[in-house]
Amino acid sequence: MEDNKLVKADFVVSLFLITFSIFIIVQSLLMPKYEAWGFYAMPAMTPFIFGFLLLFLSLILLGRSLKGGGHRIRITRIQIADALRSSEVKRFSTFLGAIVVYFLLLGNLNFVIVTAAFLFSMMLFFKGAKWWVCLIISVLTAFIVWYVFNRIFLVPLP
Amino acid sequence: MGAVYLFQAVIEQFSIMNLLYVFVATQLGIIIGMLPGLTATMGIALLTTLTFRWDAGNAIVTLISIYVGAIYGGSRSAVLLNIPGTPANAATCLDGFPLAQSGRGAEAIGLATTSSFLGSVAGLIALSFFTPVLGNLALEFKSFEIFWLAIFGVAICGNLTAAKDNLKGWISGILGIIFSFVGMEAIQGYPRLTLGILNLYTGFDIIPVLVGTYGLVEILHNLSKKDVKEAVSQIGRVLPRFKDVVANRFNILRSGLIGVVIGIIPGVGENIASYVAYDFSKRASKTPEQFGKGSVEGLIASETANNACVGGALVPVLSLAIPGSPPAAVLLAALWLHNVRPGPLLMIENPRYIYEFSAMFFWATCAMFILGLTIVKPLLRILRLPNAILMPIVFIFCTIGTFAINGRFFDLIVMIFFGLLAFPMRKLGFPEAPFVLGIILGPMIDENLRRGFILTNGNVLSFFSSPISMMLIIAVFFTLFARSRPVKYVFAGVSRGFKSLVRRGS
Repeated sequence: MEDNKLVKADFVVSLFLITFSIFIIVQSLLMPKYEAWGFYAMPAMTPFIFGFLLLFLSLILLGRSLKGGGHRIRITRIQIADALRSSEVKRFSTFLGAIVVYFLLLGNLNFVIVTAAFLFSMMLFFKGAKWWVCLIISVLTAFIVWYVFNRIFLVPLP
Repeated sequence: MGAVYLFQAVIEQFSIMNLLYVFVATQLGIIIGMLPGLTATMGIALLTTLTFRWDAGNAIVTLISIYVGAIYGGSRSAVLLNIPGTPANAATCLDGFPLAQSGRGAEAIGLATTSSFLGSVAGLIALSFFTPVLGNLALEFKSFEIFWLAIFGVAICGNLTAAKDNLKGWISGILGIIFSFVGMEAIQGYPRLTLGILNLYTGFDIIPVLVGTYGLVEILHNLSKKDVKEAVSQIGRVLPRFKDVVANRFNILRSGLIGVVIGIIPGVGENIASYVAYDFSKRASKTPEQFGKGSVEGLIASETANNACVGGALVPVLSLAIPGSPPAAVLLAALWLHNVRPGPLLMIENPRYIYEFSAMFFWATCAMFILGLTIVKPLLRILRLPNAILMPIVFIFCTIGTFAINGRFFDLIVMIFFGLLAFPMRKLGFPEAPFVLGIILGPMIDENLRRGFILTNGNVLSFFSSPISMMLIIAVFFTLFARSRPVKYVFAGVSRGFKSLVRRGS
């Protein structure tokens, strides 16, 4: 990522981290004290310390990004539309969508069938090879994985 | 005398059948190690059930071979795919993958194999000759010392980043530590930061986190790119150059020693050893700027240390019946199943068993070296597959590996969550390595800090009372502040004073 974009990203990330660290500190303060054990044994101690450390480091990151002009962010509708239309986002979201569908089907349908279908669709979408090559590789992989892990090594499969 | 016993045991175990067991098991271990999510611990556990009815000698040599092979095997996927096969190889990704990207994949594997071999030799020496002595050293590490060791791990987070941005390394490490606090804590059993989600009560297992942070991110990164490039699969010289190994002799010695020492400390495993050795190597290097960009020194350090740690972790197994790492714990259980009773009485009841055990380790190490250098090229050819075919298949292995650990569907969700968290982190320059190290270190810091306080009724001074603690505190101090101006200034002054004293004396 270019340096000027990174500074702007750091600004956003630091705000997110500050919020997150405050959340951790607040959660720590809400934890029970177990006074009979002594204050040093309470479960909140380490989350509080590290939440505070994260807050401190996030403030440094925020200060650094402000110094570099990271707060001067302008996002236009065209930029958002261009980003959503980019092939990188399309590929990313398609694969992520396929993972969600694959996980939803796992356990409800036969492992070999679901896995072969997932592999075939992904290989085809990303243009790995000709459709029949993708089909052979997908079916063989799914079957071999099932046989080796489930039958030979008795590993539970989803 | 110990060397003679070891030599005798090595000769006694030299048989075709024994070697067959060793080579097959080591190869299986390498394959288990290569597959993301499948760990050495799981490999030993699986084979313990399969070898239950075998003769004790054959079963134990098989399990040791699996252990040695798996810890080494993870380096292959780390080098070639930037996905560590086991947590022990996470540090190997830092330089192994950039080396492979620059067209030196085969050389990187050759170096990783040689380093793993030399690391295992360091472990073998510790196992054979120092088991009773080093076993006692392990007992010196109590809550305070382990706490400082973990703090040292946090301190090196800032140094485990390719860029010059230490701040992002520390943020990444502390984020990992905070995520490790999710779930029921070990002392009072209070469920922390679970947001009422029942599945989070057990916390985040390291395997889904590791597979998500490295595996899924790498898959997403490769598949989302517009121009789908072929996977890195250069086939060149596998055997490392002798001069490279000789040039790294101090690096190998130091990393081997770090691996052994960290290995013998109970509960501290190969993953931490490789990170610590990597950091020490970076500090000692004349070219620290190369670390994270394909440094041979970095690769050698991490691989030497994680395999040295295997031998180190077996020292307390034999001498105290206390495992030094999670795979060693499973191996200890397997030894009990086969009526081998490790512990302080082992040296009295069966004094030669340590050498028999070490001889098994020796054969496994040799098998790892030979298999590691000979079956590189066929494996590299598999990786010539286009990313569009390879990455979905790798994803299936990630899914199986993650699910197989606990048989929980929730772990798959955890894998996705950490993958989606680590993907923007990588893009924004927050390194993954400190994050994973943080997840490992978090419970160590939490438990040992609070346990130490409970044992001493809140006496803070007890954390500074032992020599080991003081050494670790000094190490933490120099890790954090060695590059700061005041410390550099003080050092320069001390150095000048020392030189003038020497001149006056002479």
